[in-house]
Amino acid sequence: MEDSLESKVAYQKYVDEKTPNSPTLKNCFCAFLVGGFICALGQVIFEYSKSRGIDETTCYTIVSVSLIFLSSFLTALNIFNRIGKFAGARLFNSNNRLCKFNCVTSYGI
Amino acid sequence: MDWFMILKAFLVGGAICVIGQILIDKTKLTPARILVAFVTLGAILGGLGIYQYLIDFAGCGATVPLTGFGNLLSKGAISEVKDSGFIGAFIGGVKAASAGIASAVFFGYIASLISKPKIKKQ
Amino acid sequence: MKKIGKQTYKIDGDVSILSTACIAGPKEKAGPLSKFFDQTVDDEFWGEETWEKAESKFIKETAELAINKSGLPTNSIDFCFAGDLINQCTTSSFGLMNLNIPYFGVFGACSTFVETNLLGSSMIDGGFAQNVLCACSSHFCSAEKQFRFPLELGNQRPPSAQWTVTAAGASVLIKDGNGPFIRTLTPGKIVDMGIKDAANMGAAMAGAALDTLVTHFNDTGRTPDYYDMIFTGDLGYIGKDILIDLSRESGFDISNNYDDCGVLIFDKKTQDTHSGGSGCGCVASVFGGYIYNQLKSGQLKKILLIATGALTNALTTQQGQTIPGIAHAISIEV
Repeated sequence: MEDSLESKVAYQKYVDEKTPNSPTLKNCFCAFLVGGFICALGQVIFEYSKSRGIDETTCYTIVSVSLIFLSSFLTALNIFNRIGKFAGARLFNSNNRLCKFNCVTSYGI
Repeated sequence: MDWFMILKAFLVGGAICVIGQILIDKTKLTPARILVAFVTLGAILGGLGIYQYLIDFAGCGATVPLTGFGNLLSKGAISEVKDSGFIGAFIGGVKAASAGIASAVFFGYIASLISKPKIKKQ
Repeated sequence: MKKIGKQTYKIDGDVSILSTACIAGPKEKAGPLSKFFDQTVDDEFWGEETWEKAESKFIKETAELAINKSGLPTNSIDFCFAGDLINQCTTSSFGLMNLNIPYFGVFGACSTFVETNLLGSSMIDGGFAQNVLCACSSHFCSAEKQFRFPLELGNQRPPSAQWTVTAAGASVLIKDGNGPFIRTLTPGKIVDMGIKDAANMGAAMAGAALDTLVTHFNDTGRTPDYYDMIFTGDLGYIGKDILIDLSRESGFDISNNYDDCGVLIFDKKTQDTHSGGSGCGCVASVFGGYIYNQLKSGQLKKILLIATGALTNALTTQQGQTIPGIAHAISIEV
């Protein structure tokens, strides 16, 4: 086997051709739906809190805490990871921080 | 209920997640690096005052994704500097995000006590 | 033992694989090779508190089953070669410590099963042992925890990713015996193809598989059609394709009598395992049941078993290093 940089670059190019791509369009669609849904849910919580006369900054905090609670609850029920598999980048929410922490703590326990 | 705002939150939040998904699928960036990039981007846009426009437009569609967290950190740091001087830069970010961090620790701990690690159902 | 060519060794006497055993987990039980495992388990924890303890139980039960099937008393086994994917191979050492057999811990990543059999048969043919136990295991949950992310994170896996098999396999080798006989050994060199993508192990390891395959054929003077079947450990669908292409370019056409254990163990359509199975337990459990049965029944008379491993850990990938591979080969004839 040649050891040169050229052959490694050529091999990488060959591997890229051989490796199937993720179904990006489907993934984006799912990420959009689930991500959008979570943000919309947050907005509903926000609107409700505001209608109770709470100031805006605190409303955003309530949204944050509620979503974190929900995601930890769903993780405990083993549902969250199925959503993650479906929705991919949906995990780009503040919920994700919780997940990672959740798991770390549960391994510690 | 401001339904129009909820719709905008859905659209903008979904769009930010799609950007993340494209980064996962099309680049070799690991999820961890993408998350850090989002927070950093949010912090920069927040510090420049630009992110606030997105929040005004889409509400939770801008605050819930991780860019919102970055924005929260930099806004908090800036406002604390105004109040407490230079040291505020260190205090303010975490102070603003304190509720989120504390709830993540607390709920995470409770969840780990009541449930057991499980394999993915797939 | 006699060296032939550059890197291959011919066993002078006879070394037989007297017995094998394999125990697999729930996902493997739901796969196409379900009926070839000695035992399957319905839950990844198998009654233990942690996945690591469960993996130790897998290898312990499998090793004991292989020894029972051999009919040999445990204290007549001279050496044990064993390994797994977990840091410091603790699942093997904790699992097998009560056997009281002189123990060699071995790390070859997913090539460990062939590496242990290679070393074991060398010991026997060299006159250092009469009976040797070879065992290895892998576990999806413990591997994900160590190499990738917590399961609860729900991360997406790209199409090139492979699924670490939850299974253990063991073999008991003896001097002489009635076969199937291990005839030649081709230990592998570490081969680095420059791949950095930890989600595409097949591509990272294919180069090592090619190197060992070509070396074996050049050293022995054989061609692919000498063997009824050539099996690789866990290159997966992508790695398998790559190996067929690369070996054809090197002058060896293996497309008619070649398959991969990672491709065989799961059903791609129904089990969502993307590029197939991987892990030490993959080749160990597929060989221990499916392949060994065919050797015993005479359906397969001559095979070449090449197990491939990716010599990486979570740290080297994070540090931006490449993923070098290794492939060990043994030829088995009845």
